Amino acid sequence: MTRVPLALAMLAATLAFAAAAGSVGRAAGGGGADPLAVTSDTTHYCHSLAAKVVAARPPGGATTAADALAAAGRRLCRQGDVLGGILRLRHALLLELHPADP
Amino acid sequence: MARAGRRRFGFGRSVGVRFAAVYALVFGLSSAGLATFLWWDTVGLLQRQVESAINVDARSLAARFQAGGLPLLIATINRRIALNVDDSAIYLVVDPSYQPVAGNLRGWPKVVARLGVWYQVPVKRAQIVSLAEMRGYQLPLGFRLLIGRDVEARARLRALVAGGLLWAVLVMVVLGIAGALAIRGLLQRALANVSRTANAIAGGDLSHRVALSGRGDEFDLLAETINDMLDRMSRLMDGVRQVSNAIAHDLRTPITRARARLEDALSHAEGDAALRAAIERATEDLDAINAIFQALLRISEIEAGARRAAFAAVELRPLLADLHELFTAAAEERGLALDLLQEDPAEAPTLLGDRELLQQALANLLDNALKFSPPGGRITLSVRRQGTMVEITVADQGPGIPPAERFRATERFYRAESARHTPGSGLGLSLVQAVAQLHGGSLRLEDNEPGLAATLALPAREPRPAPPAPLPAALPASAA
Amino acid sequence: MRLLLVEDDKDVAGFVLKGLREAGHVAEHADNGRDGLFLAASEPFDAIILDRMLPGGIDGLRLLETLRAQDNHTPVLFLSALGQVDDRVKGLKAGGDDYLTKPFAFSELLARVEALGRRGKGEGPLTRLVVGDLELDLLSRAVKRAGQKIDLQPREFRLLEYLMRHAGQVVTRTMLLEGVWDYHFDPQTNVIDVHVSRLRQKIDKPYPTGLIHTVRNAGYMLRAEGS
Repeated sequence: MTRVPLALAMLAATLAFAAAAGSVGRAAGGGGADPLAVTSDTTHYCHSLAAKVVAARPPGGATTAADALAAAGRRLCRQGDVLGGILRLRHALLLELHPADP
Repeated sequence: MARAGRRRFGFGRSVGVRFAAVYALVFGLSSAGLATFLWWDTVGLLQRQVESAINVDARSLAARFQAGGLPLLIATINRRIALNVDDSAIYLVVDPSYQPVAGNLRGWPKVVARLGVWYQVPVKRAQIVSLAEMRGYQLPLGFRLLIGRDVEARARLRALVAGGLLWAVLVMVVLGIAGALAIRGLLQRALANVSRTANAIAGGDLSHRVALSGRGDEFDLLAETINDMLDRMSRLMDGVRQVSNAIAHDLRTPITRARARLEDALSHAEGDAALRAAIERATEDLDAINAIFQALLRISEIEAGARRAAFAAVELRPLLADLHELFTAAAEERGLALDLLQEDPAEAPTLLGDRELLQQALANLLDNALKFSPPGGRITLSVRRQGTMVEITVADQGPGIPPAERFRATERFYRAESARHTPGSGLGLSLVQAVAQLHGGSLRLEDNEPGLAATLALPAREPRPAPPAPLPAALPASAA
Repeated sequence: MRLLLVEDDKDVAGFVLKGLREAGHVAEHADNGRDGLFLAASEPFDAIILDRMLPGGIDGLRLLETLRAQDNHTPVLFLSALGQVDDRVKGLKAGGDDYLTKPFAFSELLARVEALGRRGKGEGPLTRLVVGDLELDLLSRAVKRAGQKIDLQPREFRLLEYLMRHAGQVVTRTMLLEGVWDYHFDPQTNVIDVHVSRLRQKIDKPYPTGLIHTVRNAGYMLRAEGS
């Protein structure tokens, strides 16, 4: 008999905690309209990024690592793995612009 | 029965429940504290990092716009998007009519209605909806800048942590309740044990005792203390019962005798002289009853220990000499010899005690010795030091007390079988015993072969500091 | 003697008053502390018999303390049902001169009151006690009867001195035990009787008339024939 209110109180506390945790996750979730698209993950952007890599290529000589990454990126974009391609192209660009810290 | 029922369970009054509730509360609070800290340290930390990164970004972009106008801003943003290796940055610059000018978001989200406020907005990345944290900034010329970070990974982590914590809290609640119940059960079991005993005692069964668990814990200690108390109580009760029985019996005899004498005189006395004699005898009987009462009161007064406050130094030598002198005449009258033996008369033992009570105790012993000695017998009153004790012995050559009865001899109203026909109340040795105990000593009854040797052992007063050694002759001179 | 009894128990008071008057004393009675104090303070008495426990707000101790505070030194004998040693000590400390525990034998009370009443009348320190042809010199500690020297043990001397100081009065065994031996309890053995009879052997036996008389149910009296 004695344990019922005690258990109820503990359960209520638990539920309140769970509700709080859940609500934080979902707060300000947006107004139900269609989510806006991010444009930096399209095939189009992939191609423009590939062009940028070529343009940023230093006049002196090629950094083989950057070239290889760029080639892999272009290939992945062509094959439809846009995110993978973009990732490699971005690394290539980073290598060309900041050769010291890859 | 009704009392037990009423006591059974007043809900809030149960100590077990209170202890359990306190335990659960403390356990719950510490669990909640731990969860809060975990949350703040993981999910909260990530959130703060994102927000500070966005703020830093915004400041540096604003500086770019200041330095190179819109073209430099656009170039910078494009370059940042291009170099955004972890693919989480979202930028958007719009003109005053909210047309996108640069960035990687299709348009200004409607949700972001106010600038400088954090929003969480769903965005579509590679056909997958994910969540982004973003904030709008005002730029000169009516342009606006939106900076965001994809926080989908963080949201997933948060859900994970929240889920983990939820389970943890559930487990803690269960543990808390279980622990509380265990504590309550333990307490109730331990207390029920004591309470059962107390109820049995209250019901009149003085033989009941608290059961020991044998673990030697606090409850066992309590149980032992209670049992000791109960033992002492039942001993006292036995004593009281025995004394009241004895009083009832030993007083009834002289009262009956006095009553019978008066009644007999009333109906049968012939002449004044007989009547007078009967009344005189009855008065003597009443005096005897009164003497018994006096003795009983005195013994209780001594046993209560109040007289210890009036203790003073008592020189034993003159005390014994006086008693010897007082009783010698009576002893000689009966053809007895009373000797006083002091081992070393030079060293008079001194006691801290009550002179009057010591006199009375020794007088009782001498009374007994005189009473029970056969004609021509010898009584010795002796004193000797025995370590820290002073032992005063009164030894006679009477019938003595059989060894089996000696331990009972100091009980109130005890009369040895051989003393049945000797006058006396049976309180003399009780008083001696009480006096001995009041002084922190004891009464010992031994065989004098033949006769009884009653020894009153009393702690001697600490020996006085030795007298100072005579001063060297030179000292007084130099002092002068 | 003029005596005052302050006692609230009517039976005890009646019995005591009757006894005192039969013994030839003038006895007044008060049954509460207030009246008792008024009487004691306003009239001269030779001795006062005072019960410890009295109704009316003033108990025996208070009465006595008030009396002594007024510089009234009438000898007082306490009567009390409280027989404990502490009570006796308290009573004596408050200025009481003697103490008797209830129940008591009237002869004991009478002997003690008479001893008290007479004590108030000493004219300076005595050096010689004389009863009939018996003389006791307190300075040289010599005893003579009919001019003949009698040798006494120190205790016998003190016993005789006590009896002579109370000559013509009944002296109980308890009074002797208290006055001569300073013992405040009653031994069961007849120790006092033995000592008195030894004294008698020396004082009375060789002479034609006895001075030490046994008073039945009470004690002893030292009295010269005809006095």
